[in-house]
Amino acid sequence: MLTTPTYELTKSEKSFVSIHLLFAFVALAIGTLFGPLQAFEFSGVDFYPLLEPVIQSYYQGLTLHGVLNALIFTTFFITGFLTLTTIYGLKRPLKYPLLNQIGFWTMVVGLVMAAVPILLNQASVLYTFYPPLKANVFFYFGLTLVVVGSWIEGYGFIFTWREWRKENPGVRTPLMTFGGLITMVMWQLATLGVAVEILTMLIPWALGWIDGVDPQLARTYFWFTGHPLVYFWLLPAYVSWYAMLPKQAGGKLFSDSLARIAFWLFLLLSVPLGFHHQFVDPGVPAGWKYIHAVLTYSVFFPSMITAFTVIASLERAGRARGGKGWLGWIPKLPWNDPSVSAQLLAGILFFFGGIGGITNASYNINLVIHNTAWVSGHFHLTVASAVALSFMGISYWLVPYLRGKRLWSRKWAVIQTWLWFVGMLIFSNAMHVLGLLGAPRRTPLGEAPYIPEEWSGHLLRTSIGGAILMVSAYMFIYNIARTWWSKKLNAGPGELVEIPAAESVHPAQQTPAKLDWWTPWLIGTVALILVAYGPQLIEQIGNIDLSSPGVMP
Amino acid sequence: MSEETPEVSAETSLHIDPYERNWMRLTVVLLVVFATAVTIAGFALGFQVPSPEERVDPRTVAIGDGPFADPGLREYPDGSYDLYIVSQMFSFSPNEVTVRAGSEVTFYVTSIDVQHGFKLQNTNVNMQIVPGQVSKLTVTFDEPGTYDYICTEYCGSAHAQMYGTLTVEK
Amino acid sequence: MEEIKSTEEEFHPKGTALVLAIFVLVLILLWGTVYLILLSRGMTTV
Ligand code: HEM
Ligand SMILES: [Cu+2]
Ligand SMILES: [Cu+2]
Repeated sequence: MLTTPTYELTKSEKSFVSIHLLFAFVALAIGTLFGPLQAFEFSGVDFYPLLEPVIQSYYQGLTLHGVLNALIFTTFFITGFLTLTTIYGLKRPLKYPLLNQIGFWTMVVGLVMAAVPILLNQASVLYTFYPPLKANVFFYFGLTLVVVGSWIEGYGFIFTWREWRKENPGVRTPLMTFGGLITMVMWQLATLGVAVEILTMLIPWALGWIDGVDPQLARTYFWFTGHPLVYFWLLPAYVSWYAMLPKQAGGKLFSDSLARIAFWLFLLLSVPLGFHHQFVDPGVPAGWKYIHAVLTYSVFFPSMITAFTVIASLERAGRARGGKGWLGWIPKLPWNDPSVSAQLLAGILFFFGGIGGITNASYNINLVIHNTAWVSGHFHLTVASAVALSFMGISYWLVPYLRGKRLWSRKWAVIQTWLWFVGMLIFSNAMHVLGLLGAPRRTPLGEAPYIPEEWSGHLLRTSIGGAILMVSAYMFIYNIARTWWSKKLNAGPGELVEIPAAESVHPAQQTPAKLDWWTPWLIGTVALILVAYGPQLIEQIGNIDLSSPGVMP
Repeated sequence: MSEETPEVSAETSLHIDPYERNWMRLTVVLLVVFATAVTIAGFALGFQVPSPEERVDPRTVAIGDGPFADPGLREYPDGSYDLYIVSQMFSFSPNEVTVRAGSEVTFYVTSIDVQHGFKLQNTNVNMQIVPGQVSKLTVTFDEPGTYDYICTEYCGSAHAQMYGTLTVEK
Repeated sequence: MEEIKSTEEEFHPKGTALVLAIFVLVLILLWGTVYLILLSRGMTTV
């Protein structure tokens, strides 16, 4: 039988991954604070006057919440985690560690550059920065550097993989590495939209070189990136669900080949469907919106494969642990491991996130929910749960592994994951209902004059859910901080954490070699993007009209 | 490296479990059913999304003699209306409108500054308002009552105050 | 490797099928609800 060879990251590799996580957690700790404040405002409990010396408005806070949570926490966590899956999966060091260092520090410089104008209230344009709302130019420079830094880290992974390939011809790329590489390649293609938006329109405009922008074209560029952005968040969580969680549950991955097929489909389908965020835009023809709706439906398919494969892996593990009957394997799973409970609960919340997602994507149904609180309810189930809660779960083994520690409290950690689950069920349900009733998103509903009395119960439920989530969030931060710094928790021999690398039922080497073959998939991906976006890009760029001078809010 | 390298020439196969194969089939069927329902609603029943109407210059659209220079209702002999609305930080003009029950109203909305949203509560009118573009949808009002139209896109400090009211009278 | 080996051949993911069947029912229900809300709010033509 195969023995799983282990590979111990060197000290410098560990500290390189750690520093990614440190930035991620600090971003989360600051960014998340505004979530509950927003939720409290909905039922009239307004803390913003107290923040006045630093935070001038609800919207400045909302910008911080979106940027720090959805852009910074995610990007730093992902690049750190995927550094580990690259090194550990391939069992070799990075080919050019310096390159990855450069990428990382580029992101840090970008973060600082974007954070300063936000804190000075000169970039309260929310994390989508739709022009012609105008921000201080350093906000755009900063975001650009964050993205470029993440590209550079991705190149570092690719160079490392190519070196490994030379040494290991014919061997299937280990799944955890494979998923990470697909994430970064997809990200590289996807971010071209926002790169063009910022470099050709927003920066020249913010510098005063051009008088105005074309806001419709800017939206098209933005959503070229904006939808795949959600897969950039999600795929690393899938890496954990496929390549680690089965092992943590005491079993094996149910199907290596379907896992790979799912990842390839995400590469193929993540980008060419961004118009589903523009269903009610005036400047995009309905026919193209319809085509993107159909393409969006198709990306539901690999997510359904993922659901089956991951759950079947868990069922197999639960049965091996003595689970009987149809569902008796579920309670047998190691729920007392916070990393497992976090990811299982994240998966359950993601079921509802998926239902909301297919609803959003359904062309005319978008008329019911576009820009309502429903949308916010939806993505707190996806990015703020499926992704963020999974990342918390990963952190529960990753931080002890990197720091050579025991987790400060496993019990608190398990409770934390349940609080997130319960708080999010309440919060997101209330937000979905509010959206259906017509409540707008990105709006301090506590002060809006058109709110009917009947909504107050739901508004209160968002506040209650928000309060539970706040407790959960800071329990996580506290647990991690204690683990990180406490000397008393140094792990003794035998207590050291291992990286949970799952084997698959049929060894990866039995998966067809074609599923480890990049060229045809890359050609297909680029071709599909050209078909789905080419004509509209030509049309909209051809008719560009830089007539919106803009305002700094 | 060497002793852990698996055999490179192993027999390969996709190994798809029959249960999972059926699940994938079911997923496809489900998506086709949903897509069909949406397509029927969109193209047979007339539940449509906005499509390009007209490009305008946001700096001049509300001055001069175009319809947005004098926003408001235009009534036609057959009892239908065109309703032109200008959005700007932080109001719609007009912000009060009255139409007759049973009438067909076509909304034309544009912005002279930043992006806004236009959502008419309890109807399917929901549009992104983008400077330089005209957003257009047509609806028929059967039920008398008042309908708020609210701004659903962040547009600056008083965004939460931005709304108007449409009254449908008998 | 672990205990599972013995059950490897007979394993059929019927629990998974049940979980996902429930999911599909909830999906149809919730999606259908919003679809009906769309229909109930009247046509929007262009
Ligand atoms: C304590 C937990 C959290 C609470 C109570 C919370 C609450 C909220 C609320 C009420 C809004 C809507 C504000 C509005 O539309 O006016 C919001 C927006 C948002 N949240 Fe959260 N949130 C939490 C955690 C997170 C996390 C962990 C993430 C991502 C990793 C996240 C990402 C976002 C994003 C991207 C937005 C949209 C910002 C925008 O519209 O520009 N949130 N949050
Ligand atoms: Cu999307
Ligand atoms: Cu507004």
